[in-house]
Amino acid sequence: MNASLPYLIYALFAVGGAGIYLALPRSGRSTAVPGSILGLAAVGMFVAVVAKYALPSEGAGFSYLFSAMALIGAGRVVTHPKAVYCVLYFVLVIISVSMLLVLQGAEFLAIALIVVYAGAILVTYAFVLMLSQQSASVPGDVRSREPFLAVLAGFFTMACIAGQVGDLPLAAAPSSEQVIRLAQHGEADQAVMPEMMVDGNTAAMGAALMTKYVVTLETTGVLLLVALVGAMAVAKKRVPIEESPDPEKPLGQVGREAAPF
Amino acid sequence: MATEGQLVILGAALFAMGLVGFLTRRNLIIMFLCTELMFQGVLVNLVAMGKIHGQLDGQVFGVFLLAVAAVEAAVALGLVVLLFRRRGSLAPDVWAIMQG
Amino acid sequence: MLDLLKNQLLFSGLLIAVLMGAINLGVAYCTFYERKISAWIQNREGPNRVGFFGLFWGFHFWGYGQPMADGLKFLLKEEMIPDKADKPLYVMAPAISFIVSTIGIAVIPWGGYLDIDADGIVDVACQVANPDIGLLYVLGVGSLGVYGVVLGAWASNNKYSLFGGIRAAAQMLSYEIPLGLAILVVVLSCGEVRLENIVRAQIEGGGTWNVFVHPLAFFLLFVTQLAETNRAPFDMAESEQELVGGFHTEYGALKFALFFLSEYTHMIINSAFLCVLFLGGWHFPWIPGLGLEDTAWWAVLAKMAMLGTKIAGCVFVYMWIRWTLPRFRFDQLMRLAWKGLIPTGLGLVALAVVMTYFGIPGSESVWPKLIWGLGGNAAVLFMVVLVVGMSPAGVTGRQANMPPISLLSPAKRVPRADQGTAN
Repeated sequence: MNASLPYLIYALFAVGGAGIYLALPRSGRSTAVPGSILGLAAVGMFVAVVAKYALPSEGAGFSYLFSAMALIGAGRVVTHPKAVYCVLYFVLVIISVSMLLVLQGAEFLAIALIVVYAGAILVTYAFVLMLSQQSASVPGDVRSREPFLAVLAGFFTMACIAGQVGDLPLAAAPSSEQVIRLAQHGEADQAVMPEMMVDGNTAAMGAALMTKYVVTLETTGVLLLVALVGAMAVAKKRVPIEESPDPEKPLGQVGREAAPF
Repeated sequence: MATEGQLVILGAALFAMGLVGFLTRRNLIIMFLCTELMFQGVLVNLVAMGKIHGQLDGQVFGVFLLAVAAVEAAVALGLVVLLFRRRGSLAPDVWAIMQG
Repeated sequence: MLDLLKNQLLFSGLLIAVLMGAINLGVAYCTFYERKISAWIQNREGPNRVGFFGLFWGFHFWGYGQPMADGLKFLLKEEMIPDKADKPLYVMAPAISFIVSTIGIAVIPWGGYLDIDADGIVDVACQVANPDIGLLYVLGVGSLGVYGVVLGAWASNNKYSLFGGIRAAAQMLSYEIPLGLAILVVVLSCGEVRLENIVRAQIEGGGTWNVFVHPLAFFLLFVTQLAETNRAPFDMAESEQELVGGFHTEYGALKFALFFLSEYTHMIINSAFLCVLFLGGWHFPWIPGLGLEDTAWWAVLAKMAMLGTKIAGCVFVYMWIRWTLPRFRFDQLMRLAWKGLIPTGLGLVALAVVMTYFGIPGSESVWPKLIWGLGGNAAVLFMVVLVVGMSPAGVTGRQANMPPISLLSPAKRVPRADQGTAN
């Protein structure tokens, strides 16, 4: 049954790519509606394929739901003409992905994802967007550049990665509890706790970060420090507002209008 | 195909959508947002692969990936603000004059 | 019936219903007490007219019907959406704000474990959910709180609102760092991220609540929570004198009420979090029935009452501060975060690391903890004051045009060029 699976996935991606191509903002007549329909069809196909081939597992329904939410959100990030909505749909993607990680037993990473991405990085994006762009949509946002070639490139990238799915080992992987027990040092006192409270993977993550990956952790700290200094140096720089290099055109419309090739 | 396979497909889809967005959109902030979308795809893939191999390493790499994404956002957004202050526009076309 | 309650899921559902009711009622009366306390501080009477249903003509119940009247008024006002606003976001923003401030109740341990049928076996935890990542969950939810404010500000399409939103975004991003550092101190000294176990660690260590060992971290968390809830003296996002109403300038009726309620809900949840992390949660020494081994229903009720009392005390301090301290200027606020609170937080984390290395938090006796904690806190405070005191104070805005201040020879008042015939 696995022989036909990659072709199903390629078909799925082709439909989704066509949907994205149609839904990308463009000048002239908008084709967002057929694009959205094709995109939703691709998401539906995704859920159907996964439901057909997946081994029965706990929480499968939630897993389909959050996968679909992440895909729809990502599609809207790419295609929405208003930048603020792009940021918001990205928050949707992050929340869905973090829920998927919780379902996979990666709770620490899930919450770290929300704190770092939704709480810090995307707020910064929204902040910069508000500082620089008061109107909802600028002329550059409503026209996209070379949508067909880009979608083709995306399709091949995706096919390269996801075509390997058929080769994945189908034997049941060790459950997350086993993984945790392997990596955990201290066993928590579980005897008096009610059944709902199972121990998660935070302790295991901490142990791994502080023993096996401690050098990487320190290097990451140095990287963050360098970025802090660099961002401050960039932000403190005083720049002149430049004159338009082309006196015929107002600032903001200078540049090439020709196709890149 | 267990749920890990589903996550691999999802990660690939997120990565490719980010790529498409980065190539097509004409707003510097949305372009950087699309790189973050690609980071999400990588993160999902890392966790799925870690699960397949029964190791925590995928999740640990995910934590480092978050740190790298934060670094990228800090520096890139600083640069975007700098560019915006010079030319008053978020469109990357404004900076294409050197290509003749 | 009692057997049904032994199921944690059903019990959690019941608890959610009770808590939502209790917190909404508490929020309503928080607005009332805010006005009463401001009146008390300003030597006024405050609201004292509205009673219930016109019963007992001539008797006003000390104004206790006021929250109901306020709510009714919000409900009956005209719902208005500005013409040029971004309608979906304008409608969504108050809802996001309220939801995000409410879901924090899920992980707070309200009363420890409960033994329903008194057979010596613990049945359920008096907590909606007890995940391994309880503390991180609170951090994550708190970090989402900025979206309601920022989106509401942006969607209103009003310059003052936008200023409020930008201020709120910068402020909340900056204050999340010392918040995280203060929480890290607790994690290090308790060795736990599960909120129930943090309370347990504080009780088992001889009843030394974290506030006695790390008073500076307690202060740090309290200040950053003031900033995260946009309460005075950090209410830059809605400073009325500068920004009309800040991010909710364009909001009215129930949408404004949702913003208002979410601020007070946030206050209550943050206070509960502060009590759990630093004030021993539901524990209080010398009162029987508040120990770890007391699991009867009356003991759990007493624990909930104890935590409620502590929360009420914290909320009172919030209000007290609001009506006592003037508002910061925005650059002062940023300087406080980056040059004052973050270095303090880093010093405190270093102190907690050293204490953990020498095994102080695990010691049976109380005294090593207190001596190390208080001594270390004093040392950190001394060093921070020394370092921060050496850096020059920022001179901004109008100050830049003022003559230097000298205590020895008072500067003459120089008439400025722009002070012509204004007065």
